[in-house]
Amino acid sequence: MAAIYLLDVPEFQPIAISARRQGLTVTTLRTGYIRLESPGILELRRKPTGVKLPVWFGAPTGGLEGRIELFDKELLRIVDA
Amino acid sequence: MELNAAHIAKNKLHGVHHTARPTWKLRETVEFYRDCMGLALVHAISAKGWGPPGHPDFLHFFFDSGKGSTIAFFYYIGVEQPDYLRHRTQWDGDSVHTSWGVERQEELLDWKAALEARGVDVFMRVHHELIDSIYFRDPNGYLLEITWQTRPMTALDAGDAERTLQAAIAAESEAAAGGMPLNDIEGIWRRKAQLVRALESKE
Repeated sequence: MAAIYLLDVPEFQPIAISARRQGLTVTTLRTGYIRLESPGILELRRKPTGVKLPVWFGAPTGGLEGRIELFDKELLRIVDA
Repeated sequence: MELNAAHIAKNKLHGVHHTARPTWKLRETVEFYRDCMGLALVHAISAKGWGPPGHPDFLHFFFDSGKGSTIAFFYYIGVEQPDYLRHRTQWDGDSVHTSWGVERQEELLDWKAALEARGVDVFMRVHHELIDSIYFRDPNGYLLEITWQTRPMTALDAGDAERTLQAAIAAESEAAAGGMPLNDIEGIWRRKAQLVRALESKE
């Protein structure tokens, strides 16, 4: 399983909305986090999220499951560790 | 006396009184902060033979930066600027900087326009997570920032910050125990996920 946790605050919420449209499983937790997950490989594109780079590059601050294979300005790819 | 949480809780701070840095550009520093930025010069100490050997005579002066805060400078008379105190306009030198707050985005934009109209190079604007900032330099090269905080910091932000630092300190300790420096944020984020899962299972 590959996953990240977003902090459930206005800065990161657009990522969660877009992640659902991008086919990821999105779960809002009771603890103030939003879990984005995908079996195997998690791929998330930045442009559809609308967030700028300072927020994008801090998106996994809530936590990471798996290993980051690619994280550039346009794409985050996490693989099962 | 043994310090405990109750003692610590009684000790409160009430904002920044002053921060201070050295300057070797006296006139330029006064002209920049007082005349260009418009911060009133509100206090100046001058002393002879009071400083430690090497810089006995000095000026120490303060500019008003709002809500009782000031930004202060030392000017050491007759002392050449040592190389190690020449400001390096790079990430490590610039990590020491002053950021003032404004209350509305319009104020931030007004500051940007006003500084540029007075010839200051506002070379960067960055909207971080909950702070929107402009950046410029004083005549010493010191990095200055003006910030508009887009929303209050909440208990959620604070709890998250605690977990980030808890994860980072644990990752650093583990790396140190293995004789290695901490050189990867991923390890911190994986530990953070463990903390978030543990929190969720407690709820």
